[in-house]
Amino acid sequence: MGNDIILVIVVATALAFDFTNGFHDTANVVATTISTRALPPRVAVGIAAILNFVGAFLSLKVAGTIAKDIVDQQVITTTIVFAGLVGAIVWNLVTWYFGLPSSSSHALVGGVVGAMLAAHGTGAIQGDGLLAKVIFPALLAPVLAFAVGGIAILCCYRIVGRLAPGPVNRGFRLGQVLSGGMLALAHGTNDAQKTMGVITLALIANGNLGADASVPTWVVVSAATAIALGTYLGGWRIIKTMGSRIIKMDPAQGFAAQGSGAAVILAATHFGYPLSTTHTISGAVMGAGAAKRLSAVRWGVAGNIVVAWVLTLPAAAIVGGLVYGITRIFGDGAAGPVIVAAAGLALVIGVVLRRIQRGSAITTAAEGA
Amino acid sequence: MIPLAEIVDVNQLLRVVVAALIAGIGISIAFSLVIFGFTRAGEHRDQTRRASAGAHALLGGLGLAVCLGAIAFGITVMLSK
Repeated sequence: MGNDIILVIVVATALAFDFTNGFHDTANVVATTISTRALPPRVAVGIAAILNFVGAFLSLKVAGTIAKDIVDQQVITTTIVFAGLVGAIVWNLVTWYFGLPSSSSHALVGGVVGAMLAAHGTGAIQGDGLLAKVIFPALLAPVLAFAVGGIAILCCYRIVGRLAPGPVNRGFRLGQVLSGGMLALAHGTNDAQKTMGVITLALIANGNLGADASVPTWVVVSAATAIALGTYLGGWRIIKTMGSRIIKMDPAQGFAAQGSGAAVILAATHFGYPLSTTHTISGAVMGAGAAKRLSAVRWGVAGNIVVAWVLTLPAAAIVGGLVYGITRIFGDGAAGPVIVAAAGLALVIGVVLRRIQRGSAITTAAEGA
Repeated sequence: MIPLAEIVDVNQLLRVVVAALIAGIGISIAFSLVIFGFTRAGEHRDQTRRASAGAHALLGGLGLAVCLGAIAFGITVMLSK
């Protein structure tokens, strides 16, 4: 009975993480599309939500492990997974509040690492794997995308520079709709899979599924729905940061950033080296801006974003570790996760009610470019 | 201190960097050629410069083919994940 309660809490928390992942990463898909007026804001997030939903169904080869090659898979428990998810959700909400794009995937890894450290100490963490699979790609993605985005926009300007601005802008706006669509599909495929993997793992650990069982349909549908809903609500603060606070971009820059960013992500995935969508697109936006004029980039904003990236792993780890510690105060059973989950839910409800009382929406509408 | 080369697969890394450069820059060039080709084709057709219009339309068409191929490749990558 206690294990079933923990299972329900883990599933609910995983879907909550998927939801925050959706609205947190919406900006990667729609920010430049909205800022260059390629699409109206609500249409852009609506299309992104639909394509995220579809993307979740494209590939069901979900990983049956979490943080593979980073933490010892033999000692991971559903309580550790729960604590890791809470760490990731908290970091997603903090960075959303400050309008800073950060990697939800790294937040999840950080949360799990922190919970594992609290549970089993440093022996359960594989430092080589952390370096190779998280830290090094986190450094590579924005630098590579910066270079690609910068070279891409220079090539674009060279080719279309003598044309009238009207057809050029219309053309690149259409291009952004297509590249944004590809990014939304890729995001739905990649990130919904993580949540499906977490839930499937929890079901296997609880004995509800065999180790070789396929992902249940309800898991796929619920994960797809959660990420699509989050995408539709849209993290407007982050959209504003990526769409206009880093640089004021023209449609050509928007396409160069988004199109080359999508190409970089998919090319890397093809070679089995997945890169963070957030790091890649943010780097490409900065590169496309800097190539036109170095001073066009608000480096202060860029610096804040980089700080958020650096803090992602340790901050999520600290919260994950703390949450695990708190659950352990109440023993090995379900009491700890129940109390933490109830407290978290009460906090969220309190914040939402306060916001409603103040008369402001949960998300702030984009002001447009 | 463990050398980075022992932790990171350098060959894979190089393949990723090269592929990303080709893909990212390539798609931007291809789409720019679509815009350039069809815009110029329209202008030259209006000026009754049919040969030039045809050549530019062909250029735009080639760029479009590359872009569509890239989209198809991208979807293939997602399906095979």
